[in-house]
Amino acid sequence: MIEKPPSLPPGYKQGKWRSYLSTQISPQLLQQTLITSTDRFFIILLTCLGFIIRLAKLWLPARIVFDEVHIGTFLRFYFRGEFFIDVHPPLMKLIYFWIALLFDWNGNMEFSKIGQLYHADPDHEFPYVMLRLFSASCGILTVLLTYLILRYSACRSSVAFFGAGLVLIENSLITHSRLILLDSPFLLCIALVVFGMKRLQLQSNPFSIKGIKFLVVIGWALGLLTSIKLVGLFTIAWCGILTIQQIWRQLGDLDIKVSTWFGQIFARLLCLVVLPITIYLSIFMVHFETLPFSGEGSGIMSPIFKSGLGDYEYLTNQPIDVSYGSTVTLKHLGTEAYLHSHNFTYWSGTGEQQVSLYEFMPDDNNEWILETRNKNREGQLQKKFRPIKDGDTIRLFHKSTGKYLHVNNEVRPPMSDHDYTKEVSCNSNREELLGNINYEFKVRIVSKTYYSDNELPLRKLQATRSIFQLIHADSKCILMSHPVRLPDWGFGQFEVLCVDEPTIPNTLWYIEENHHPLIDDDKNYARVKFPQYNFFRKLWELHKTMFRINSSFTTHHRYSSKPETWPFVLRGINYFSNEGMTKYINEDPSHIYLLGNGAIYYTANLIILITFIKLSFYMFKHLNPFTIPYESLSISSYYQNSFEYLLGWAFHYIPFFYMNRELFLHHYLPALFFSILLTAQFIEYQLSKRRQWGIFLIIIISISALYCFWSFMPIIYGLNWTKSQCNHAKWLSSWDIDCMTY
Amino acid sequence: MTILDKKIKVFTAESTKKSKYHPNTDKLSVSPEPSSNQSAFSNHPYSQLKHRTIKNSKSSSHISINDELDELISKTSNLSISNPSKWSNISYWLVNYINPLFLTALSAAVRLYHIDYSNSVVWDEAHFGKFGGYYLNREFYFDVHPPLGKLLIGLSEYLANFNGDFDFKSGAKFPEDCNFIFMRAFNCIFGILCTPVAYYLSLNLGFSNLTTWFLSLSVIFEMLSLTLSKFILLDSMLLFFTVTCYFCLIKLHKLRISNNLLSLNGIKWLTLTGISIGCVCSVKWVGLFITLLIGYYIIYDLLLKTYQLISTDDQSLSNYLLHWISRIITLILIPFCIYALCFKIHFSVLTHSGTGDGSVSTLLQASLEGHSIDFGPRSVGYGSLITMRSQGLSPNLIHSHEHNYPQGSRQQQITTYGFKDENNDFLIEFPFDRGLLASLDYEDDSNRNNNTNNTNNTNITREIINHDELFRTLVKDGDVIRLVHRMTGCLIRTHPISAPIATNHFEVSCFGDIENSNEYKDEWIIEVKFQDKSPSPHFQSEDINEIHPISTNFRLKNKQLGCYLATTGYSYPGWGFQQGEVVCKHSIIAHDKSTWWNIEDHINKELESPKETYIPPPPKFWKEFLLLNYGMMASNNALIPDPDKFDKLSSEWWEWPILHTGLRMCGWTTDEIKFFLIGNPFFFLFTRQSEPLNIKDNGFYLIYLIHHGMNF
Repeated sequence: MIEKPPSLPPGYKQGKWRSYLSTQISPQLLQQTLITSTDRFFIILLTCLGFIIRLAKLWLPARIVFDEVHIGTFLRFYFRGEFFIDVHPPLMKLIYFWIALLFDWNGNMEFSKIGQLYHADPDHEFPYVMLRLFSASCGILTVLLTYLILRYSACRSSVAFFGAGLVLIENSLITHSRLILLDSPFLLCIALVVFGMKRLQLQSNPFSIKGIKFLVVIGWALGLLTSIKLVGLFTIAWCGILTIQQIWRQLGDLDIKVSTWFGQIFARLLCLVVLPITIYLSIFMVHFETLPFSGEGSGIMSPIFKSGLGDYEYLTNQPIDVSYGSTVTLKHLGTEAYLHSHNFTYWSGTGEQQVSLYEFMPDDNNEWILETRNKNREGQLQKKFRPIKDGDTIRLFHKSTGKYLHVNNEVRPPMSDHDYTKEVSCNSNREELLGNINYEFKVRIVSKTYYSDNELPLRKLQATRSIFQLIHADSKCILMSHPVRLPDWGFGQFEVLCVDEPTIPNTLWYIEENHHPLIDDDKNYARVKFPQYNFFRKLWELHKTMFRINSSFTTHHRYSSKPETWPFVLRGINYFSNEGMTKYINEDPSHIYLLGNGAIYYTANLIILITFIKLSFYMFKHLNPFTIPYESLSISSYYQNSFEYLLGWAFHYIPFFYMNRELFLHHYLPALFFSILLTAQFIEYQLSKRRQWGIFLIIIISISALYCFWSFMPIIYGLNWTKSQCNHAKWLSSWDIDCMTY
Repeated sequence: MTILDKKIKVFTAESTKKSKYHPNTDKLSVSPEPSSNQSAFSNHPYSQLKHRTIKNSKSSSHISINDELDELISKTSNLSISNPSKWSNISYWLVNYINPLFLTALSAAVRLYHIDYSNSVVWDEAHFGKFGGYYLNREFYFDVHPPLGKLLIGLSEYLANFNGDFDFKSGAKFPEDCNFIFMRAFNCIFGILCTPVAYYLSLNLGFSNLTTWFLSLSVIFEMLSLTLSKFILLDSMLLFFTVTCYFCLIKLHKLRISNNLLSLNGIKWLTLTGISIGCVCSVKWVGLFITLLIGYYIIYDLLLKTYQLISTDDQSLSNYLLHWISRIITLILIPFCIYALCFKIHFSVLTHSGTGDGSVSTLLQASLEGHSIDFGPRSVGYGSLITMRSQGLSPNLIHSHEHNYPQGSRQQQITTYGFKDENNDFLIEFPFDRGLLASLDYEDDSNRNNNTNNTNNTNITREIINHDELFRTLVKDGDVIRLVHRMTGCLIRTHPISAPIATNHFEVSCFGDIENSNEYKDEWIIEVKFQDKSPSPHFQSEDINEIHPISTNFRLKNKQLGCYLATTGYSYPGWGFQQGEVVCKHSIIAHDKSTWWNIEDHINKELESPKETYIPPPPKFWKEFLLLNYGMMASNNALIPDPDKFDKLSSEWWEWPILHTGLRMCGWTTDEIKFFLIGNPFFFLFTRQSEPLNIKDNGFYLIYLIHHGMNF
């Protein structure tokens, strides 16, 4: 070892050929991050305050608040084992379900609307306080972890207490931790990841028991995180970037052997990639096991998926060959929705009966009878079995309204108005229709499903096997549908249209249910059979569906907002108000409105801006190839931590700008958590540089944050207020707090 | 040291003409880098490296670094360069003059071969040939590409004595008197010239003779650029200027290594780079990609010089500033001037009214000969029939038609439209509170009298109406008006419903009729912002408070919601026929041009037209330049393909490098001469590792860049 030359900045060592940045943890830093009795005192203090602030009046309001109605609905599906689809992975719903079971939920409670009573009668009770208690406990733990995170990023105890205190009294975080929602446990997992990262960075020896332990902690937290919400992927990306940075530093450290370095990479891949994936998959495994029966969500799954659900024997017992006269349901391959028509008319174009795609089953309006192009009497085709072959021309008779599917050559569809598109509607009936080729479609079989065991489905139409196009006999346009929703008059269902020379993916259809009286019970005819559906295929299909549903959340919600408004507390969300509800005895007027703590939000915004500028200059200084800037270890540590938190904030905020779905204020909470960490880090830096100024900042920020918390307590906890106080609290005209409640 | 030997051999081949040769100017990539630094840069000139080493050696007790380096230097300087013999003299001529000439000739032969084979209009000749023709006819047109390429095509048509009659209909036969061979050959020259540039490029990169030949032959026989250079298209020009840009970049790199960028030679090449950038960006906007590459290199260089200035003694402040100034002048100002100059020529050549009238500002239109603007009386009054043009990002006429929004209010659409059409006509009406209706019917004079009677009948309490008050009241700054769509009778209004595309603004729709409408949502307050002065002495003293067609710029503020009628530059999807979006916008900045409007056509038979012909104010070049560029951007953005419609001409980006699909460039009937655009599989196989710069716009263009020859 060569002696460190005096000119090298702290943290650098001189090697044989070059100087390098050592990854050894300096004793000074280790000393700073030792947990002392002061810290224990602060932790106990925070726990007590947490109990008071986060658990106060947890049982109020004793009614369903905001998205609790969705979560509750899903819990009920779990109780009955009915398959459903939600855009979020299942972990949190499963945990809530288990807690509810633990506290003797009888599954009777129906979650129909916001404001419904949780204990209307003994038979329909729901242990909502216990569920809320879980969420609130996660909130308290987050506060404690915040304290530890800040301590391990070399902040002094008082600053760590200040940062944790901000998390503790932040209005929107309190609101969320008091309700049966996903965000509070989600934030806890994020805090756990950050905590693990901080501890890991303090390990000099990467292969010590402790080092491995914290890697495993991060891996677990990441796994749980993504199993709560897929937004956890941003946290994974954050973790990934920091890991790459660490690995990169180790690569430059001459003290670390190459074999150790590769070992590091391997260990991290194992803990940060393999472990989370395993956890994620196992949770889905449990999810599938808990939902053995068909339910609301099974409509948009493929028949092979459905065949794995409990009560779908009839799918596997139906005849495979499709005959003229068969009653079938036609499914669109791309969106897995049924060709549908109902007794409502278009408000545009011809004004004839609507044809659309519908995602739910069973529904009589999804049923069509395939008929020949001749005039057919009622029941005539059902007397003979005559399979439909590739290239045959058919008519589609809508069973419940008695009308035929047809294409209007001159009229364009309501949403996609182009010169190559045509409206599809239902009109006419058996008696009127005579040789009009506008009602005829040619069946062109394009391919077969992957589980077909022979080539037959390519030659004749087979249920669940043949994938085909329907070509309009007159204009040669091809029947298709796409995920473009009809307006309210079409109930937001997908538009069906006919397009000349379309791209292929959206024109493919298959038959799911197939019934013909002659062969339904005759076992001599082949039956539909499905192979075992592989778990991974099942998962893949479920995820495709989840993403499809997620991206179709585009209908405007009253309280949705744009990401650019979030940091500025421009508007909140009305979670609950018992205005106009029949009140039970002693019930006070109560209103819950999600609103950020203005002081904390704006302080954080300012500090984000300052840190960004400071980091840019710091980067510029460090890119200099000619010198190594001389700086103390505490400065390096400040910049490193600030960079990490700023990155965390950006990773949990900026991606939302690129999402097309409806977004809400509470999507900002993870980013807010990082911005509070950044705030504390900034204060620590100020304290070390200019002590007086730092103390002044702490006092100012604390007082204003407390004031904001105090002023809006009634709409956090749903307490009583007066109308004038409420109106007085509308600091911005855009805060639409519902003062009529009081 | 074998690699070093090789390198020096290459150098010998290339730089024997230089009297002095110093190997230290080359990169020292072969030595173990004795740097103590963890910097991200890898391309340090040797001089810097040396400097740093010396500096470090002062601080560290290690002298072995210096030792090794000295050893290396002594070794490399001992490698002698053989004296130029007569053979090398011949090879110098061969390498520098004869080979490139031969290759260029070969390239010309391949490209000009059968250039006249098809005598019909192929592929986009239908567009670009026609645009060139507009320059000959001097008719104003609008296109998404900047004008340089089309100006050159126009030049070729002029040189070919083309009379401008033929309209280049796709697939049509060229007429007898149209010398299309010359036009194609002119365009082909750019394709041919790529070869010598590529050849010298390869030499400058220090490649061996064999590699240089391979590279040049690749360029010659590469079939995409070969096919495209046979026709009257912009692609060969774009490719040529892209290649010259890259060539200049390599020159700059060499000059930077030898620290000669501020010499006369350096300035010369910087200027040439600037000219190349200006040309490539004036042909198509995709030229910005190669500009980005150069920009990246220049920023890297300047950043390094900044650090040198801060931390070392190599760089004097004056020198450093000179570097900045030279870069700004040559690489920003010169390209910009070229770009603007192209537009200047464009505007000065096109002095007649043509197909592009509808989408340019009123002043420019009025300056064109044979324009179709109705100047009408000089002041707008209630009852006037007007068309109104936005001054925002899509400077089109406000328009309405009998189609409703499929979402939001579902009322009749209001759009901006780039073509003249009677659906652009609006009538100015009194606000509801005035109790007057001045709408005139311009079809028939007798109707107008009926109209007057009708208004009298419908409201008995109304006082006897003074004819002058009803029909001759002028609209003043701050007045409230209602705008009635003449064809459908509805009124422009807005409501707190979010607009279809720019969802943070309010939707604007056309709804109701004048007799029954009593909402403030359809009343607009006029705010006059600016008045252009006519050069004619008769029109100097127009009242600034009145609304004058053509010259007054104003904003329209909704009386109830306080937002301003504005355009967003976005286009509606299919249901709105790709026309521009109109919204009501809360605009704080009074100079927000997207909320500015002016009146274009004005008809009012009650008011007096001026005796002298009105001479409109001359268009301001920079304003028109900006507006036209905005317009190009907007129509570029509107070209979004429908994912449901199969387009046999388009292809995906990933298909290009692997030759997954080709392109039929013309009709495919039996008796036609057919052209199929596909890359050369041989060269594509070898350049698979390289990065072709692929550009997709308006259908399909594939540009294969030679600049990654480095991978050979």
